[in-house]
Amino acid sequence: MRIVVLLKAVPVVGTERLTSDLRTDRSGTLEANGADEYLLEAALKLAETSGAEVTLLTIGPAGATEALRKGLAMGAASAVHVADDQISGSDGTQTVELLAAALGRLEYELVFCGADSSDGGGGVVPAALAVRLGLPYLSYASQIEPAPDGSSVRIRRLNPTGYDVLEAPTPALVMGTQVLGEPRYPSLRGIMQARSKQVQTWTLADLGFEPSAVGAAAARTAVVSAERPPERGGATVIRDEPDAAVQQIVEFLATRRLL
Amino acid sequence: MDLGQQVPAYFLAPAIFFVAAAVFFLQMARHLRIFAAARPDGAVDRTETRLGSLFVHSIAQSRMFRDVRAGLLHAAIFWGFVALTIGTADRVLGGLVRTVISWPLDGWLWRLLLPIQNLLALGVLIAVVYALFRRLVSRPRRLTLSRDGLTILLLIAGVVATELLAEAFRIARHGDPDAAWAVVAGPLGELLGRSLAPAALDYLFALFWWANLGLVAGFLVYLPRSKHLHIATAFFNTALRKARPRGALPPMDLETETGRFGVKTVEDLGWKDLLDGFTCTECGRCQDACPAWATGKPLNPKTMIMGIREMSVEAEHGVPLLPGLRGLPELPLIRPADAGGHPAPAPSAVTRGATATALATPIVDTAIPYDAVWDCVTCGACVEACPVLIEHVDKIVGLRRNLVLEESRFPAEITSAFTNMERVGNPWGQPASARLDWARGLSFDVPTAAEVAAEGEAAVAELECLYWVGCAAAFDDRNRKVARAFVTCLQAAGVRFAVLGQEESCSGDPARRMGNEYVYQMLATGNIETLNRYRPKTIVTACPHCFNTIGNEYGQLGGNYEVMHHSEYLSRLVADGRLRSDASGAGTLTYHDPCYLSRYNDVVEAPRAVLGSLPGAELREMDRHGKETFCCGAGGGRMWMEESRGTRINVERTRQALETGADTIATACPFCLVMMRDGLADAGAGDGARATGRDGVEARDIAEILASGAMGGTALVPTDRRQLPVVQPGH
Repeated sequence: MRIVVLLKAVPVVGTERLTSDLRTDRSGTLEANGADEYLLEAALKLAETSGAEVTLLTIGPAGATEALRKGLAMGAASAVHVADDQISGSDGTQTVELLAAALGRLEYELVFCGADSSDGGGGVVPAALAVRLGLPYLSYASQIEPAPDGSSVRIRRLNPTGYDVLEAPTPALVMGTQVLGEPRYPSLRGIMQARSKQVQTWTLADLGFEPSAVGAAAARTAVVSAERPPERGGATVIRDEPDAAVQQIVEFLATRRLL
Repeated sequence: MDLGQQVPAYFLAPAIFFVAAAVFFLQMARHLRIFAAARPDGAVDRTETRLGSLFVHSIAQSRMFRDVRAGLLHAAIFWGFVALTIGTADRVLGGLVRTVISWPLDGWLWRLLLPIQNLLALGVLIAVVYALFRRLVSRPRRLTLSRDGLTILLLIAGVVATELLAEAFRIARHGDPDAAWAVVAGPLGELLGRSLAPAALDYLFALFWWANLGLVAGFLVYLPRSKHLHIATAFFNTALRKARPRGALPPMDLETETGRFGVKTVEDLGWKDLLDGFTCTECGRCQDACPAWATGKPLNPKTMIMGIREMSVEAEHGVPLLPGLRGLPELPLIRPADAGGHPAPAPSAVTRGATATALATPIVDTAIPYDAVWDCVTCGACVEACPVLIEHVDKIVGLRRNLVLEESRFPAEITSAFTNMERVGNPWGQPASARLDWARGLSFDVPTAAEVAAEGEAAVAELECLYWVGCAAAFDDRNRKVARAFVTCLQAAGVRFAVLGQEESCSGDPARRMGNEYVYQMLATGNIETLNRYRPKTIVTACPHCFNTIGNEYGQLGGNYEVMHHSEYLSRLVADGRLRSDASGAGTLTYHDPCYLSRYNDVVEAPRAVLGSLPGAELREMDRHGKETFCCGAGGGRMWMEESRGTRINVERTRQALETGADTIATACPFCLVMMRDGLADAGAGDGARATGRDGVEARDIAEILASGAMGGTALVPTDRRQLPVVQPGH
């Protein structure tokens, strides 16, 4: 069983900034996208229980290596980093094309990814990639169980009344949620072992792409404006005897028709 | 006097004694052979300090007198035993000692010794009775009742009583020119001589004499297996104590360490850790002092140390008493070291059978439960309480290091603290860009070191100190007020200062104490790089954890700075007349000593001097204050862990504070402040209670109390006695 985990490198949550042309500034410290880490954890658990081999795949600037190193320290066997200055400015569609090309050079039964990224947050890549590759698409998985022979995979998807069980033949693409479980914390031994693990770097040329096919000039969507959310207003703190305080809170909510 | 004539079969006595002594030393050597399998444990340097420690703690036994009754009891037995040993040596050496001591001053030295010896022997007997009373009747909670303890007490009483009786019968039968000086045995002997026949005297003398020798020999053979062994090991343990500053954890080389990270088995401990185990007498002072134990948690520092000792003894089962006996392979005395100076894993051939099994057993869940490892607040109360200077905290952090670095096994809730420190340089997970938010809206500028550096050399030279804000004051709402109060004081005193702003990171203290040496070193090396760029004359911080780590631990990574705690800095400003306060509403205060300030760094007087400078302030001390303070519950990374076992430590400490009847709990640590505030809320006496008309007790930092009435010292600003911006709680 070979699993490729798509691991996006995003700006450290809370430090996101936009560049002057309204794109995510990726020059600062990058970290592994939280939503993807749940899938990495699920893949590593499968590696422990059924000997699956986990490969990481990312597209991003040089700083994305940090996120890959952490994934390797957690226990992934190898990593592929698609890096090329021309890629900057690509939109979701081009990202899907690049990922499809990279996956074309890898062997796998399963592709795992999170629902969306904490920076762009478009959420189109998982479904679009499955369509582009013609893979069965299992979304919002809360549990992932491949068949022992690796020929198929079952997932659970939570619904308002319980959960559905879905099954698809492999190769398949699984998008999962945080219900899969908290990602593990890498041990120092893992960190040291990760130093000697291989990170392959592929360029556009390696993937057979023309530079003109990617980047801002080729993107089919554009961000036209970006606004900061307004600062939060001052909070009202009520200090009183419990009964009187409850009365005031009820009045506050009632005048705003929130009760 | 001729022992050979007086004592039947005397020639056997020295032989029996020296065989017993040999068995004693062979058993001690076997302990040492397990020590040799442990890690090297630092150089033995600073001879004078060590001799001083030996005198203060082993001879004068200063810490024993914190419990005066126990101290007197122990001193009586100790000195009685010393005096007794002179008599024992005399008997097994055929009267040689008496002959030598009687030589100078016409025998007066011996005559002087006799009454001391006699009175001390009586003292020992009284002390043993009292000790038995404590163990069997009054039973203080800290004492463990064990067969070993009772055996030792009865052996001591037996040795002393038989010696005294043997002396009395000897004087009765044979007389002694110095009998008048033996104030107990002399009169007793006279009485016996008058009432018993010579044959009975002969018989009873021989009986007690030989009983004494038998007990002494038995004592020697038994001692190495008993917790009473401290009479031999305490001298070494107090002299070979940790020589680092108490607040500095052992350094750790993450790069060249090829073997084990942290402490997993007895083999990963240092020999001093094993010596600690053999020095413990189960007196339980650590248990009494431990806040985790006091609040019903599974951690007991005493049982951990005894557990390590048992594991060490267990490892001896594969080692014969006589080297080479039974044809078993031997432990090498010194383990071969690798290039990095760390011992290579012991070759399997030398550690076989029981020894190998014992040496490979994890300490966690053998000597100490897993949960207990995480219950420790690293407050050091156990270390401070131990009369023989056992180091508990370093061992617990060693265990945490192994759990975190090798096994990734730790309470789930601290994962986010770890990743936050790693990602954004603080456990709160706030972006560095928010580091100066606390200074918004102040009526004066808080310059960063980078801004001052940009102004040029002259501006840098004028700087008096760098204020290390710390993450708590930068990100925690309550503690932001402390930062504002402190800079208000600095401003009022006209101190030229700067902060690091976005360039500051967590000092690494929580990571290090939670066992994550990797993240600690990452943060510390980054901070050292930043600090070295600005080379501040003095670093001032309001956080005792940053204060301890930067001052005591950064040196291990090459960062050496002069660091002051804000309590010291403020007290100096007050003493120099640069700052005074007319915070007349200070009222009654109690001061909660932060562990890392008082216990670890001896800063006890400075915060009290600050509070003492307030007009009309009345300080009411809690029972446990100064170096014997009781932790707030947030140390050792506990700030980021759930407190699910037992009751809450901060609630207990708040209860102690409220008992003083003070209106304000003053403290000087951001974590203590939060814990005391929460404790007050829990007790229904917190900030919010004031509005309800009940007595509101507040927890406040000393800087806040001072700042609420801070004025520039008259010497500096004689004309402008302005009232500075007042920092009020609740805004």
